[in-house]
Amino acid sequence: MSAAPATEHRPSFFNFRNSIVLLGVVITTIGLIYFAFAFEDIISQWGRVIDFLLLAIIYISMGLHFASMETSPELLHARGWRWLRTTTAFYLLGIFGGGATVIAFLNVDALNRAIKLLVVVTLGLALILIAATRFGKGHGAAEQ
Amino acid sequence: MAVSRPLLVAVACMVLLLGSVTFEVVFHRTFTVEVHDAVGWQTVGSFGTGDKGLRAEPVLGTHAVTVNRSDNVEFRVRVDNAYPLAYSHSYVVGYQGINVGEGTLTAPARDVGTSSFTIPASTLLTNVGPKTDPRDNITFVYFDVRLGNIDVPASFQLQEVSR
Repeated sequence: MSAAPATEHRPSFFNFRNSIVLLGVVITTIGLIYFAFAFEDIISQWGRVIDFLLLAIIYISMGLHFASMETSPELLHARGWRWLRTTTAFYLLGIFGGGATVIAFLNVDALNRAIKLLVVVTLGLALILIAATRFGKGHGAAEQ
Repeated sequence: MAVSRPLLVAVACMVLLLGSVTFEVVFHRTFTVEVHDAVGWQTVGSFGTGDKGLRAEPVLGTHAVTVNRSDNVEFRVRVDNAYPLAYSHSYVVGYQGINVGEGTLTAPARDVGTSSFTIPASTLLTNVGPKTDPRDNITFVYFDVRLGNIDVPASFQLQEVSR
């Protein structure tokens, strides 16, 4: 592969589409955090666990959906940021949602602390083992 | 745009999420703490009313509750249980780091439940917190009613009529 000439036209960091997608990611993240705190006197502890879990599934499903249909254009054409695509943005939101689910679960007072610890550690190990053994390399949208 | 299976899953989860949040907003419990004075029951604290911002906040009484030092101040904790399930939970009343009352609050499904408790006025008047002009004999009283993980803070003004 030949080196790119210095005068090569480089796309701007932001275009309209990417800006809107990034804005959506930021707004969704803010909404996630707001939901975690602002409704704590209305949404029950178990309700919050369920809601965060559903949010995480929604984000990951959307990531899978876009992974199967788009050409994965970069959202930011800056060095070190080329991994950020629509699919990875959804996966990241899914990870945030999953983390929020675990935190909400750990805050459920009705469960014994030992049980919560056991469930969380088992779930984490199971996710690692399943992902490492079942999904092959190059499976997923983060593939460059 | 083709409708893929992940998209269907996302839409289904979105419907479930909306249903879950709607259920919680419609069917939830609100807790209030009330003090009895000459006028009647006056709300001095609440939790779960949804209009108090991020945390439950005490409701400052509009006027002071007047007592003699030898009186017992009567309170009640009330739950408005909109859930289709009955509610029952023990509670403790914390005042300046000590438990000054306890009881059990119960409510049938989709109904209201109350539980009364008293605190001696002499205990409340020994509050080390802020006071107004000493000539008014008014003490600002702060305490908490804890029902498991729910903490209902309450505050009001207590005026001693005679020393």
